[in-house]
Amino acid sequence: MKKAPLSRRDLLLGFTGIAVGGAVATAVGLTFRSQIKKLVGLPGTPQDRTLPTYDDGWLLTEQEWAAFQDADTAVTSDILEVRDNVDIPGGDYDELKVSSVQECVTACEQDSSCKAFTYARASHSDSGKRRACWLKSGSTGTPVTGDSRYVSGRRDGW
Amino acid sequence: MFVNIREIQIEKYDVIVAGSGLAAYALVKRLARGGKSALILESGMLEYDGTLQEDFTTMFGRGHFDAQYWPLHWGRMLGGTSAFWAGWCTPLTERNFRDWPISRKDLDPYYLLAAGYLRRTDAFLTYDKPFVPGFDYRPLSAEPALNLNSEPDLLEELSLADIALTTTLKELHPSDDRRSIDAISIYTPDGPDMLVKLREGQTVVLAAGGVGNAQILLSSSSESGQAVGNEEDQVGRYLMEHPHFYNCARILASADHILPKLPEDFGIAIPAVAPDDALYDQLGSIDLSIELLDSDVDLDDPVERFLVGNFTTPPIAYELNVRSEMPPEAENRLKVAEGHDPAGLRRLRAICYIGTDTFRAVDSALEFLSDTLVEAGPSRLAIRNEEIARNVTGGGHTMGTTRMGDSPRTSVVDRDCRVHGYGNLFVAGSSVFTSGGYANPTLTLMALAARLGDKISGTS
Repeated sequence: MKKAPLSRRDLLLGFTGIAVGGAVATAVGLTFRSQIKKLVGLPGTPQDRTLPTYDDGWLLTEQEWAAFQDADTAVTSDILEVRDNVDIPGGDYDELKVSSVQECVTACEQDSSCKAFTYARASHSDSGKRRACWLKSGSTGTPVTGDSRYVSGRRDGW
Repeated sequence: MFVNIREIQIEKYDVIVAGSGLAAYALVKRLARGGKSALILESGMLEYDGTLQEDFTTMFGRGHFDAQYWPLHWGRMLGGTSAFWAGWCTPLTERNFRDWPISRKDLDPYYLLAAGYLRRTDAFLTYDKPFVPGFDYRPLSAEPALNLNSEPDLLEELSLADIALTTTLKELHPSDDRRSIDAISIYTPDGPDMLVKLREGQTVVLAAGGVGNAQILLSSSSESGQAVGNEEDQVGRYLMEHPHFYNCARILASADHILPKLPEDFGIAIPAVAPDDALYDQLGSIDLSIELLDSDVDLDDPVERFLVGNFTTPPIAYELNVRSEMPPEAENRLKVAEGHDPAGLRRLRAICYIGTDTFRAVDSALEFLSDTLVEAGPSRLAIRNEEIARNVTGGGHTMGTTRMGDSPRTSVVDRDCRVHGYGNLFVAGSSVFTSGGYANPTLTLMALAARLGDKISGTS
């Protein structure tokens, strides 16, 4: 028996089926991957890894480190709009070593040429950068979000 | 009293001692008690002389302790290296004698004698209090040093001992059967070398320091290939130091961890804790001492400032210095090298590396101490990796180059400090240590020398 030629409608349905199937497969795959990451701790990109930085220096409990890192975020400013886990690249005109993020915020507030700042947390994986405070002019690069090593702020909004 | 070697009858002395340091001092004290006279030969002068020191002690070397290091603790003057000594003392403990042919009990009476010579009470010899689980409080005694260089009277008042300065024992001549020393060669800068035939019953004791004792033996090889005492290639081997790790850790502590108060007769003390026997075993039987020095809370350190908030009363702070044992290794050694010193003694090369086991033991001990503090409450410890891994130094404690043991195949002297096989040749000093523990060696080398004095005079 001779097959009837595929109608335009059959073709469209077929393409839609492939597209929907692909989307479902992708969604399932992504979900599976994130679940697997949680289950076996696959390394992600360097930015979203929390490195155990407490091997050199104070040997604290995990809870103490978490509390210490939280304290490293708690900051307020009337002048600057501060965002957690953001790095602003470039535009540095000064680099300070500070003992807290608040100190970095204050340094930027008091200098009218400081349009933005980025602070490297005390838990930063690179011990040379820990508690560094970069004061920045207006011409900075595009902010990188989701990087837990940094806290940044802008004078004229984001 | 002081004598000129060229104007005296050397055969009248019972014992000839090379070196005038605290080993010689403890030795001749006991010899005199047994009625034996002694002639002490010292290369140096009454006072320190930089040129003389350099001429005699220049050497070669590589490793964690190099050519510049050892001469700093090989003094050429009256009193020898005691001239540079800070006076810190603590005995080896029972466990430190694990590899020795003798035990702590053999030395106990001589530790008492040595403490007396050093003008201290015996309180520090046995003091031991629990500190935290795993660690005992074992402070070091730090009374002023007995310094023969600044107190020459101490040696002069020894009735049966004479001292010849700028006089060097440069060579030992063995008998044909190598059962004794027949003669010795002596150098002074003001005349030809003297060949001195030893009379029956005359004894030689090397007390020329951890490097010097091996040097005299290794230089005594003119008649035949093998140097005296080196028939099994053991002289100079098992060279040891005490690796010191200064400011390698820090503690922020609650009042629970204030150190116990010491009895008054302990005298000046350096506060320190040592692992208990169980932890010592876990550390691979490498002994160590953690010095706890009072410090101020550092509010510039954000973590420390954060931690202060965890204490109900203001915390105290300690800076930690660790001194550790360095297990004896045959490949850490002194060897004969190119050239000679002014007396004609061979120049030496030192090869001395600290092993991984030592670094690991220090790190593990600090980590264990940290865990103990975390379990007990708010006290916390910081480890400075850099100070452990890279900034290690020594304590000026040269040990092990004429090692004590029962077998001539793995040692140079026997349990009586007699060079294996030689009836009239002995060694005094830290060079006979079989292993070094962490204890500053002076007290132990004096105890061993006092014991040797009794052995030689037949009173023990």
